[in-house]
Amino acid sequence: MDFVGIALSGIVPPLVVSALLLTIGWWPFRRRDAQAPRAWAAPLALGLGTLSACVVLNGWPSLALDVEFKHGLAYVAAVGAGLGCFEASRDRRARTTWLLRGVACVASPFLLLDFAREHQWGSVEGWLWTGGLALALMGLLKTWDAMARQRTGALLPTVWTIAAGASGAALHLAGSSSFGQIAGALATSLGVAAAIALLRPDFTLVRGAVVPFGLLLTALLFGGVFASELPRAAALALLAASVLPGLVLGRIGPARTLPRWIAALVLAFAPTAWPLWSLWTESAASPYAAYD
Amino acid sequence: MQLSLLACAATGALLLSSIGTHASDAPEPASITSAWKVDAAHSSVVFHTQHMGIAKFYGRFNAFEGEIQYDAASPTSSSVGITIDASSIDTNSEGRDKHLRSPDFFSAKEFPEIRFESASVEAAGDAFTVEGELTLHGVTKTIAATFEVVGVAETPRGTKAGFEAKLTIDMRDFGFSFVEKNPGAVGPEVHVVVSVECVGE
Repeated sequence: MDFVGIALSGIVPPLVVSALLLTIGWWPFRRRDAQAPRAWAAPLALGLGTLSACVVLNGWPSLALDVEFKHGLAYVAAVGAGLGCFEASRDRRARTTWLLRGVACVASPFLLLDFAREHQWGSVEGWLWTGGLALALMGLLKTWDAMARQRTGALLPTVWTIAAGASGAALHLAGSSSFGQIAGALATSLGVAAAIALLRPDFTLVRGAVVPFGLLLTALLFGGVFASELPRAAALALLAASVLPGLVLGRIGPARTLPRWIAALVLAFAPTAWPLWSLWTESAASPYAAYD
Repeated sequence: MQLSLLACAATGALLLSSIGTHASDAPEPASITSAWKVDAAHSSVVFHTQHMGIAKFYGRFNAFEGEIQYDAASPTSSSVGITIDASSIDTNSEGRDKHLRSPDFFSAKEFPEIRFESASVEAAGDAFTVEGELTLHGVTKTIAATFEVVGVAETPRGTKAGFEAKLTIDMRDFGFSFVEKNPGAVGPEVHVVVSVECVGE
């Protein structure tokens, strides 16, 4: 398989899986006056779409808990899809929902970064990192929840497509095409969601889709920082791209005067500019040139 | 590579007997030392693989350490261990080294050590065959290597012995999915040479 083949194998599977699931979930209800679409479609599309790319690119992961980080991403995608479906079928304020979110937020950094606790951190430092990342993940999920409640239609999936796509490019430039491809798969699934949302303006990610997106994006950035060579500041900037439009639009006066789309795109692209430019200039000699 | 260390172990016996033969005032092998340590400053771990089926491409690991225990009376009961810092890979291109350290290849932050532990040493003509477990990229496999004694000498810093081990591994056996997904770009076989100078302890 050549490089084009590898790139396509990270795009085609999530494209097909996500389009299929979202079409089944949303297309029959595309008319505005139709009944509410099937809520499980979006979380399943993001989770299983990304999972399909993980399997095609890296093969089926083993059942061991101490799997290689890139194989662990497949589990994150599966858990995200499952938890997202659960949230889509219930009131997200339910105690069980938050309990499951809490478990997922702790388990993700705890299991994925097992190697860092073993090789990079002392025992106290390891627990501080794990706890801190879990708390940060919980906070991000709440922020993304708020964004999803405020925004319907294609705007939010488009913003998150930009954040995931930029993360993929940054991870690639930071030396890991494996993580970059998975981030590209997540961006592809989000892109399909954005396309569906153009047809169905009341499309929302509020029910269930926040969890698979949040768990996958943060897991990829964990991998970039702790298993690869993505600078921490770059990871923070990429996360900012996913939240900044939601935090700013509608809350800061001047932003209201701009067309919502332009403002959102600018706010999503702006935080990604510095890390991408920085990583691009650092990798003047492409790490892949040797294989060209 | 690590196997050369094994060689150290097994060859300890040879070395000792060699010393005993040519230097009548030299101490008996068993009294010289039973433990050897790799002198990394005078040792090398180099490898080559094929790039796109065109040419052999060479690289090295710059940081490693090893230890050998040998039984002078019974070289086959010797043991060798060597640990290589995966992040020390050096192919004369910082960009490529970064890629090789990444999760696409060695995932050096996740699997920082490449470790070989010998399990058996057998005489094979003038050389030895060492079998043991190689842990690379989080995968442990049993491998075999051949090694030979290059030289032995008494030095102001003690008894030293040089060994060279050669082995070939298939990167696909150790979970290098990049190689599996991109056949022909690099490898899949990697030929490793471990040339070590050991100091008796």
